[in-house]
Amino acid sequence: MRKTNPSFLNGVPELLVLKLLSHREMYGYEIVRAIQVQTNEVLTFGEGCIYPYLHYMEKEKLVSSSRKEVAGRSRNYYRLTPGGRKRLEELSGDWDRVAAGISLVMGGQHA
Amino acid sequence: MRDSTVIAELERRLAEFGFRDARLRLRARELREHHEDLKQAALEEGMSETDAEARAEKLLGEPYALAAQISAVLRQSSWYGRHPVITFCLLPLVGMLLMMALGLGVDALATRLCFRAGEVSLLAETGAGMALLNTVVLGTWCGMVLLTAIFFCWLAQRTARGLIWALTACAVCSFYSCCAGIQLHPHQVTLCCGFPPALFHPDWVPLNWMPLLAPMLVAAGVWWRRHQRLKRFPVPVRAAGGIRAPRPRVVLAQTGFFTPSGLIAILAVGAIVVAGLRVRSEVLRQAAIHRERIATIWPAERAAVERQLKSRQMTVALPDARTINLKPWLNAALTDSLGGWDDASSNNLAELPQGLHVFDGIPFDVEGRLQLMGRNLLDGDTTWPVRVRNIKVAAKCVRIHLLHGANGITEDMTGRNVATLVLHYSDGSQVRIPIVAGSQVRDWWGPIYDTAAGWNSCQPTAPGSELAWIGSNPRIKEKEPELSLRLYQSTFENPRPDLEIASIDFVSSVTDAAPFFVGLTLE
Repeated sequence: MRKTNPSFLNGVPELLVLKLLSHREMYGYEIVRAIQVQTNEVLTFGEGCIYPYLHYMEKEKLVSSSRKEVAGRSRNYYRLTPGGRKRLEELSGDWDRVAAGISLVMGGQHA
Repeated sequence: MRDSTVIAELERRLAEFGFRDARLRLRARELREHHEDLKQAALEEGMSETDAEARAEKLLGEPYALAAQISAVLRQSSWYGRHPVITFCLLPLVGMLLMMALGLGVDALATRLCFRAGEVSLLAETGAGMALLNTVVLGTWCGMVLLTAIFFCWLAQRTARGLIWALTACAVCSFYSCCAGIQLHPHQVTLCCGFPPALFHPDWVPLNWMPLLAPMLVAAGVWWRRHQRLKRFPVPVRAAGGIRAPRPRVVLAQTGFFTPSGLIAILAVGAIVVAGLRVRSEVLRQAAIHRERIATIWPAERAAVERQLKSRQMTVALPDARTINLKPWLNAALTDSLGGWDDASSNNLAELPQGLHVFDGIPFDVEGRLQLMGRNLLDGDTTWPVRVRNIKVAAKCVRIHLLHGANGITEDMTGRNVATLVLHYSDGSQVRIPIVAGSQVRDWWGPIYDTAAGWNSCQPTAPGSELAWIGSNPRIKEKEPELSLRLYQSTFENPRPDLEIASIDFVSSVTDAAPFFVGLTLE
């Protein structure tokens, strides 16, 4: 397991969290598991670190939270707000452009 | 369920950053649930309880770094959290000034609500009223400094800036409060700012230290509160065998109206209301006494003094007295106004009868005023001499009688020399006779009654000095109608009656008081 992720991943956790929450509301542990599973454990971090991101996004009104009891356990569930959805569109667009640009360079090297 | 050491450390760290209980509970609860999920997953994988606990703690992350990240989110979410130097070092000055303006506004409103217009005027014009108003204004300044310090401490807690910035804000408030101050004069409030701090000025009284000490009290309170609060979050220790010792679950205080802070606030408000009512009743009592004095006591006392003075102006006690004609040395007419800050043309001795008249049983030849300089006249347009030399006498005498006065004698000048008579004898020797405030002369504006006259009562204390003439002018009628103009007759023994006095010098001590005399008689 790598200790840290590359520094060019700044902003990626926000994008991933927003993307995951765009499908359905989730709690912190669930979000971390989803990132690990869906990225094949390529992106890893101290699991507690997800909360500062979530609190930041909640302060920025990108997500909102509420407590819910599911299967006998009370959890703090996060869901996307309209502002968060707009932010996700912006970040997704940015990411697509950057990824396309990097792919062009990297594809050329690999060819 | 027992708390994980990671969560306990996280709570402790968040408490150190100043997270409020509710927010701290919320953050810790979320991470506790995450920790439980991690542990449950490890147990489901077949790990032992101890291993599952260790794995969950490892995956959750380092608690201090986690707390720092959570605090950083809070700090970065507001402008004042992102700019602590501006917020906690510069803004307290603006805050204090705004709060002071607000406080004075509240004072003014409370005064208008508690007192009628006449009573307010009375407050501003009487010594007791001014003292009360000064205390109220100082109390307001102190209270506003206190509130400002509390506000910035609250802001430091709200932005998770911790104890250091709260103490910095208190120190800054203390510094600003001793560089600034409120001065109250009749019908006037002045905000003074300056460096070095006016606090160390000799005129300041210990009560003036209150605004400086108030933020320090807040700082001490913040430190003590934090110290007490952290006792609820002890630093977790590892148990033997490398397992972190579980910490007893912390029961956090529930927020509500009847918290200790709420009760203190209620008691404080109650105390303020009771104090306000007592102050109001005391002021109204004083006002009633003052009205009675104006209506009956002072007029009666004034009439008695007038009768006594008139009787002393009818009879000459010294038939062999020799009046000195001062005309060659006079530098002001009786109708000339005395200068100074109150440079009104009507502030003069025009009512004083000119020519040869008897005052206090002594005849004096009054032609005008021989005025000397005092510091209170420095702001005026007219320059007066500090010394008048060589007033020709050329006579032997046993006693010297002076009809004189002084402008600008204040309470703290009592007992100080305001002028000197220098007697030059025919053999070239000289003798200096001091004229002392309170003993031979009092301020020329003052009461001629004794009841509640205070330090400025009309009679001088030295034997041989008496109130000799009272009068008025348009300026005193306008500014202080209950006061009168006062001139004194002082008798000085000639220490060398066998020698002829060639001349006399009249010398000012250049204190705040400006001495003058209008008549000189030898006996």
